[in-house]
Amino acid sequence: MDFRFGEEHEFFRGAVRDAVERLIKPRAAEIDEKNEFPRDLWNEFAALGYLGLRHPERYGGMDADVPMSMIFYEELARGSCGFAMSVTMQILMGTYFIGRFGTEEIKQRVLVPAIKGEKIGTICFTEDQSGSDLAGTRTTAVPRDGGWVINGRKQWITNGPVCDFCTVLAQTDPSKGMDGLSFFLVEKGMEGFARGQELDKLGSRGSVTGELIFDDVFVPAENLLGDGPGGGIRLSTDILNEVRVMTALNACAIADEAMKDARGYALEREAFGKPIAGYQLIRAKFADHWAWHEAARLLAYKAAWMIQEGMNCQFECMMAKMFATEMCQKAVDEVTRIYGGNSFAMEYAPQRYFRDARFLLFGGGCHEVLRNAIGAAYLRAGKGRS
Amino acid sequence: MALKVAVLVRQVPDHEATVRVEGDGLEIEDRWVTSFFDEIAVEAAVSLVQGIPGAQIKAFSAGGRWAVEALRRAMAMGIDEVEQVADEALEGASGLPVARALCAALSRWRPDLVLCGKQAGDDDMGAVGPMVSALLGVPVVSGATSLAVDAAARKVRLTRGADGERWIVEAGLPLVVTAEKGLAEPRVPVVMRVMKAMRAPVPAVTPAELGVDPGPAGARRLRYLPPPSRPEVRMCESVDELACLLRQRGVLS
Repeated sequence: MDFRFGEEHEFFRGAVRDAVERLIKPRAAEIDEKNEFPRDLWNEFAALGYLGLRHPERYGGMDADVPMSMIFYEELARGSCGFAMSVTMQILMGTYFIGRFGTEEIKQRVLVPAIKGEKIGTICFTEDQSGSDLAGTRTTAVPRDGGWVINGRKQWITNGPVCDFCTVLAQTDPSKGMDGLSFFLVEKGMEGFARGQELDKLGSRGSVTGELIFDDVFVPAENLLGDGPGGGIRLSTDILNEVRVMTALNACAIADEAMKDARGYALEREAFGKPIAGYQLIRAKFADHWAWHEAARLLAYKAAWMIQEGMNCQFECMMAKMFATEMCQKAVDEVTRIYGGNSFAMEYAPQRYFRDARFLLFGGGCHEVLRNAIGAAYLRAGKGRS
Repeated sequence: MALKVAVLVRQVPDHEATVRVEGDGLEIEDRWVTSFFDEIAVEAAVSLVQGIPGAQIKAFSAGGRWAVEALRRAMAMGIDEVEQVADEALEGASGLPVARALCAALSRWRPDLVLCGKQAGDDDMGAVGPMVSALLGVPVVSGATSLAVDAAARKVRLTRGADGERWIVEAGLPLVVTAEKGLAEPRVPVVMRVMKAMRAPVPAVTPAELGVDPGPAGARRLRYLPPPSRPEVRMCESVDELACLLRQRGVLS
């Protein structure tokens, strides 16, 4: 057993942290306040090359392994939750199916500029009546003239208001339910593809989020991203595992940043003649956080290691996401108590951590659905898997 | 002859690392970064050689594990060739032994221009640059805020600040220059260079192989004292109470 990261991973972490400290952190409050996509920061960050993290070098990517990419996601979220969501959407879900199933021509047209940050991508799962329940997807794709015609509306699409292309989940065979779902590439400029309403969100602001509308959008046959019609959900298992662990590490980072701020505050802020850090009830908050944070992070990196090793880890990834994001809720809640009334003032950071933490609860599956799945698996087979 | 530029780098505790006085020493959180002024020197050197055809650039650091980290950072920022003067005892050592070790490595490579930070980010001694200059027997210009090299004429033109004044200095090569804020803005390394830096071997040579004994420091820190704690804050209920208190303390008569 050895729980240390290697020197290469530590060096990589230092480089990412440096980039985040210098480029993103100074902009975090402004991004949150404006709730606008920070195009200049996007261009500056894209020029560093991190957007190709998980893609092959021949397309301008880094071909990073899973633990290394998780290090990146953890450090990235220390800066701005909103900006992190835009970047991770581009790196993971926004380009995954294009990288895996796109023709060479599609990769050159879409993936290569996406890795450079010149084109912005996203993935479209959620609709007004479906999110965690993907079987409820009502967007359809019907074969016509050697291609497909897509109709539907997608909601809660990260990067949607600024996207140049998207991967859309649509039903190609309603009789098959979940197994009839497929992914399609839709690009800006295609007739019938439009952006709808943009959301004004509580947290994770700056990762602009909104509706995308598909009104008789014709896409050629090669824009079906998969082995053939249907089976899309099966193909998304791997990437969903990564997304869940990524979300877990985003949560670890936000909790850690919030607690670090609270530590500084507790050491400085005096009450009854001494810093509040000297009181046991305040110390208990740091003790609890340290333990929870350590546990969440270990679970997340263990899941990352299992993905890298090709092990079956669907439930470990769900547990990591669920536990770490719940840990983050507790942490940011305690931070607001340490700051007391000041946590309610917009000039202090805890209110932003508090709002951002809520966002992480929902992506990658709401916890009611995840708990149901984990519980059912436990009852079916018992733990004993690891 | 092509211009050869050497850059000296070292790691220091991150400015956010917690530092506590423990006994006669310091307990420092294990978070290290390349010294801020050394990063400026690296950036200045990388930018400089880009404009001079055939110019060579090499980074040097003396020490153990942290010297390797500093050299990897220099590689990530754009320097391909590096050399570690490997001696764990030089990690955290004071100026003179470090300068002797670096000087031995520099003498072997024979640079025209040596760049380093004007001071380390931890002890602020500002010693190594001038010491290297003295040991090499070449002039030093400290605290440079701009730098232009005419490689053909082997001349350097620099600016430096001095107590509100702005000096324009001309010097010949070889020369040691220490970098001040403003000389260059250190870049955020692109990821491909980060990946290259973290995988590249870091060539090492020991002081013994260079035929040098870094020797004693000649000066040592006796002990550290924590900063004085903040005096007690007392809230007064009224102006009269405050005035009374100030009279008691002899502040008001």
